Amino acid sequence: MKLIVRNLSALILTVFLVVSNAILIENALDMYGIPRHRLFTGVLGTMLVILSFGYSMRKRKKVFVAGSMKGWLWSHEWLTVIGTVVIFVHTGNHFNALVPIITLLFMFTTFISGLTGKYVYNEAKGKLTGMKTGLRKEGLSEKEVEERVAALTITSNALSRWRNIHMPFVSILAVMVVYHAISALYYGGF
Amino acid sequence: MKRGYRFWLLIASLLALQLLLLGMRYPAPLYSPGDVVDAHSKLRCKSCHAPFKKVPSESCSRVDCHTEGKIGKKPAVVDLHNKVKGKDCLLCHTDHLGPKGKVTKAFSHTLLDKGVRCLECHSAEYDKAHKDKTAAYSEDCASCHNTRNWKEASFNHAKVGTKSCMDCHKGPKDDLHTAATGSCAECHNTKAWKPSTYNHDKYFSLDADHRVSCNKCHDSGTYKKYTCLNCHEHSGGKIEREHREEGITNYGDCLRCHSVTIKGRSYGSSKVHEGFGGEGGDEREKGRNKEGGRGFREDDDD
Repeated sequence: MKLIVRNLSALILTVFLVVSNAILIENALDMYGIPRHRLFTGVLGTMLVILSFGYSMRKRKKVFVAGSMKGWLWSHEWLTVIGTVVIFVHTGNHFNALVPIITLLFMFTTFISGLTGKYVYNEAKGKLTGMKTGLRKEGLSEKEVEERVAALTITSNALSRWRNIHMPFVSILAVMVVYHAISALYYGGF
Repeated sequence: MKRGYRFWLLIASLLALQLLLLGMRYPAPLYSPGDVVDAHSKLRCKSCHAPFKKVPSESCSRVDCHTEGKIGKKPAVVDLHNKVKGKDCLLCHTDHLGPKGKVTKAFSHTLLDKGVRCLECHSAEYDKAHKDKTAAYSEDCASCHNTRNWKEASFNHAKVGTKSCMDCHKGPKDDLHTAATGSCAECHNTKAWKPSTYNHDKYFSLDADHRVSCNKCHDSGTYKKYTCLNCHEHSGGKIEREHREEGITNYGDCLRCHSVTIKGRSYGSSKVHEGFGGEGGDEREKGRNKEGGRGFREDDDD
């Protein structure tokens, strides 16, 4: 429980930093009158999120096969975090049209579910593995080990379902990003 | 997991298709970044927008309101639009900023053809801002102004050569300036008229106890003369009587004989009555001098 609370705090702090930094950058761009920054941040944010899919490709051994999974996961995490900041800058305080709002909502939910995977599930899984290894070294039988870590196993198994939420949201987000980009270019031009 | 991925992609595509169909009927709620101005509220998206293109200027002139040559109500606005005829309307105008949104952005002077003089459009502003007809203002606006902000005016005084200040500027008529005999540069610089570089502390520090109007001390119409007695009255006629007894008539110039220390700085003379009554002074006054002179103290005041 303590572990979940600690990692949930890290998750909330990350979300706060992403949103606050986006507000600061957006205000700075507006203040300095940087022309067409909404278009550029939209394109840049999308590119970063697309690049983050390199991890998924590597995981499924499609396109990329080189590099360690740890490195690809690291790039996935950072590209999505920076990409999310840039997309929030792109959005600013403009919430009028439904298509961009729906796209943003899916992006935010996907981001949160990704953070849940990083901070909560992976931590719980790591701790479970560590505890099991320690107990085995103490000479406990497999049955005894399982009994000792039963509560954490249940938590870990429950949290493992986060991917069941993460992946559908990623799929919907991908379609919505394409839809939003096409509709924006249809009405706004290049 | 692969199957799941594809399943959700299919669901997402169906959602997008629903939105697409909805958008064909009601495009504004789905795609509009903000409400258009009231005057445009009856128009359809297609009236202005062309697929995958920026809003073409032809869209604006197609609407009856913005026929070329008849844009604007004020003559100056009509004139300006005639000067930028053929330029992209969106360089200066926008929309979707709300029903009362500001549709005109900052005007870029680079849109104008070369040879257009500033005063062709800005003669009214020129006359309003340069009311002082005694000043020799140039009609070369760029010598003082830029196209970004009219109020950011700066004049390079080095250009005027050997002319004196009064050749261009009319001197203020107040007592202080009419009495002044020195050059303007003694108290002012060419960067800005205000604040003056005149340092009153050089003569007397206007500390918290001396924040009074100028004429409280300079009550004789000239800033060269002053008196402390409007506040430091002591005992009224007694001061006058005592000074007159000694033959001092200009006793209003207290600092000529008395001293005062403000913020650690001394003003005036501490040589009380030295030289009074002719060379050497009389014996009575000499006797007072031995006491080390007398300065103003707080308890001097009545």
